[in-house]
Amino acid sequence: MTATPPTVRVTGLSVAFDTPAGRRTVLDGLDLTVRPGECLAIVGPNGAGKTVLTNALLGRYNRAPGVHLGGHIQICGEDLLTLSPRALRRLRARHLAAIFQDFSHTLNPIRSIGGQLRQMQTLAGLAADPRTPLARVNFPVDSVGDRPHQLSQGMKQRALVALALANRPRLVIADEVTSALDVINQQVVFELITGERRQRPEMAVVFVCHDTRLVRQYADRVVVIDHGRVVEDGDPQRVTPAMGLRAVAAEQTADDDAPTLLDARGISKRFRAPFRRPRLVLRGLDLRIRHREHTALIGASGSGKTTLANLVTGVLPIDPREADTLTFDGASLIGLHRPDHPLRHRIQMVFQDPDAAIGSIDPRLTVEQVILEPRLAREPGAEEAGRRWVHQKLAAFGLADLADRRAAHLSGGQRQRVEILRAFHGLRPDRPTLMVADEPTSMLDPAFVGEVVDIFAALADEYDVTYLFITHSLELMRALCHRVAVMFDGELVEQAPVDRLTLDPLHPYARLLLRAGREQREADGDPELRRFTLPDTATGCPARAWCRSRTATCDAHRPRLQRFGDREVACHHPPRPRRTP
Amino acid sequence: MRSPTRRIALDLGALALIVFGLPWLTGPIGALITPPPANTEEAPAPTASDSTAPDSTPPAPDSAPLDEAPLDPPPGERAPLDHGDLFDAPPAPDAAPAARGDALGDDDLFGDGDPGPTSPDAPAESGDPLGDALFADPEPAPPSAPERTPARAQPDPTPDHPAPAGPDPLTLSRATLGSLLVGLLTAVVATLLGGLLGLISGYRGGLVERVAVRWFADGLDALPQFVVLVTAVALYRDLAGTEGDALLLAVGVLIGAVNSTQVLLVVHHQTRLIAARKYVIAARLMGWSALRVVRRKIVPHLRHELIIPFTQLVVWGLFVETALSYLGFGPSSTGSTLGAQLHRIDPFARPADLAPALVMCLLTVALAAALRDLGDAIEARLGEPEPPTTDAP
Repeated sequence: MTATPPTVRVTGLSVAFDTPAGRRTVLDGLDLTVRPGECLAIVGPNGAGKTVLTNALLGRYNRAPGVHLGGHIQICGEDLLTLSPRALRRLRARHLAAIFQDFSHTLNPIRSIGGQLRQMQTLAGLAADPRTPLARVNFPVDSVGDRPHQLSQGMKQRALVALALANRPRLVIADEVTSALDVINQQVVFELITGERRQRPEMAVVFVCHDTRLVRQYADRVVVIDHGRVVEDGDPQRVTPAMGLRAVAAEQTADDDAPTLLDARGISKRFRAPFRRPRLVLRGLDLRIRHREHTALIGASGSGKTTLANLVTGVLPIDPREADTLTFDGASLIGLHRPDHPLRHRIQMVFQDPDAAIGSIDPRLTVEQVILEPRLAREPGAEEAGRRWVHQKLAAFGLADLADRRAAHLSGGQRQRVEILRAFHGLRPDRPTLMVADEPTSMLDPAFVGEVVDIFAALADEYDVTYLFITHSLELMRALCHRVAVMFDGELVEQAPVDRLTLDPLHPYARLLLRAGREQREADGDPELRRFTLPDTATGCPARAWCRSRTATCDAHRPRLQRFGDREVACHHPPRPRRTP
Repeated sequence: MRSPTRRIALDLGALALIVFGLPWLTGPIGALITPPPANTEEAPAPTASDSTAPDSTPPAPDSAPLDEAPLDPPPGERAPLDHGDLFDAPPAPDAAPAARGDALGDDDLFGDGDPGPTSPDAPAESGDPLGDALFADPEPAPPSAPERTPARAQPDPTPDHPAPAGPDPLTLSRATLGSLLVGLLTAVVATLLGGLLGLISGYRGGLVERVAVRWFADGLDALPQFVVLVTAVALYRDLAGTEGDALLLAVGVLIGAVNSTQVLLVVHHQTRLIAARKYVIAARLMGWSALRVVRRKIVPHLRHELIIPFTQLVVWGLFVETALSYLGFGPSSTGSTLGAQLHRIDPFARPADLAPALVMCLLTVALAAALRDLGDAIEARLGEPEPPTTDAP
């Protein structure tokens, strides 16, 4: 052992909560050590106690009612569990930093970024100097006085990281900070933290993460937690790499003369709110999906993917003035938000399901009732047939014994599979249908993603269904889709067959996205990635802020989609596409 | 106290005790809080002593007997038991022994085994300045009390109800139930009306929302509630020509309508939140009609949000009705609620005259506790299920 004491030493930590059903032990004699300068990843299945551990490390359970603590936590030489509230605040101010999952609500909306940083530094006993931490995260210095609403998403993220690091912490705790972000933004956050670690090698980082790719790439050491204990402690490279999903869509490649199923042209969407400028989320977007051509819609957070899905499925009403053409199988989709639209049972949506209480599964109903409901809405009186279908499907997908449970008693993976069955039971089996799936895997443990992909593949064989996947997951895209549409800033910027795009992305955003999804990086990090931000003006190319091949044309004109063989791209200077093999 | 059923049972028991038992105890309690006469160790009849003004003559111990005098000339039976007038002549013959017995039993508690002979003398000896200061105007009270009280008593001059000075236990008990009824009526009306408007405006949005929230709710809230109520009750009374108990229901409905805005705003807000949840959107995508979505997917998730407003409204309805009736704008004439009782007694000459107010206070507390526990139990049964056991709290 070296002379430097560990930053964190957890010995025999146990945490139990009082619940209506009795005391529930979440952590049970957990031991953990983090040395200065180390970057430790915590992984483990849902419910293993990862979040409870990070909360305990931040002292959030000290003196909390209904929480029973045992064992010791030593952080920076202090015994965390016995600290007085005052000493705890001091420790937090000086040595700890937390980056939370919910990025958008962590900044104080009524204070300038500089002011918030100054406050943090003063609390930590440092000289108030907001510029230095901001400069380290490539935050433009002239925006120091801006308040959060004046910043773009990317800038906010930078400001948050700067804020977390402003007190020059000795320990940074990040709990699932990236699971709601797209690949690029995940990478940006970790690049920023890594940059800081290079400056201050003594800073230790503890992060909880589902994504094996990020763990392998950034962690020095990985700890696997299960049932409240450390079950494995080792080298991140030994963690199983990103799962190899079998490409289930490959064999049914859609041919070029398949009829167009969804034809959307010139789709705009403007959100109006009182006292605000209307926000243009979709800017005249064109999208065509052919029959049985499963399409992935990928793009940055906030680029309008979900809005598009909501318009296509009828969650949001379509304003006929904001759509040149919007048809499905030859019939207009306008008015789809009304319950009696003829296409109602031919377009359904699989929702992303992060939460048992407010997700797409009614928490009051049992699994059987939930899956039966859409069938009864489609075919009143088909109760018997519907029930048979439910039980057959539950059995087929390994959910047979869950029929009487409620959402709260299902794991995330089970919930997602139930949700897929629910959505499918609302589809007519006899006509071509469209199933829109909004990030069906983003909240899942990697272990469950395979099951969800299997169920999508099996149902695609059975129904005459075409998928539109909205996803951040490149793996899901490769496994299930034929074509991919890349969205950026409310427009489609590239559209191509999946294998062409993965080999040879043309648009700068697609290039960045694919590069971020890869594990190997240049030694010095990625300069384009660190400059990456969403555009803040409507003129010019939305990617020009970080694109390498930016010219004067890019500043003046917004590029339109141009055709290159079987693909389309919106760029003034697209690299020459490689020959089709 | 783990099981909610037991807790509710206890609460309701306590409530019943208060509604039916407390009125019988107010006399002794009133006696307890009154300081004993300064110069007698035996403290024969404390309630009588304090109500006696210093300058009142010995044979007229108390305003109540004065009022009674013309209506109930033979006081022979009542004379020895002076503090019996706390409970007055009971309206029902079978209630009389109970009142008497109670009073007697409690009297023994005060250390005087034989109250009969001592009590008539007591007023003469006692002169308690503190009691006067608290409960009677020192100067004009004794002469004016006999004049005022009969005026109040006018609506009810039957020999069965000879004097309104102190409410007897049964009247008080009935008045408590009347108040409770108004409170419940208020809450029910407010919840139904506000809930309906809130659901429609929250789910539909747009113009309906503006009308219901901006014009109806905000508009009504901008007016002083009490003025609106007084006007409405007076108008109703004149137009419908009802009085007394018939007015009781009308007052409950009116208070409920005016207070429905609270429920409206809560329901409106919650409906908007719930309507944005994924399972509601999923139900819409199934092709359910708006009515069905609201009935099957929103209302069941909203019910437990109404529990707290409901309990508050019961109590608030009770309060407002009491105030209205006390001022004479309610069913004051028949004395069917606590406020009406206060209205009848108004010049509060003795601590026991405040019995309705005391009942009111305790009733409010007990009601709030009982309803809250009831709400918890309902919530546990039909509210959102507990958070998933797999996630950290």
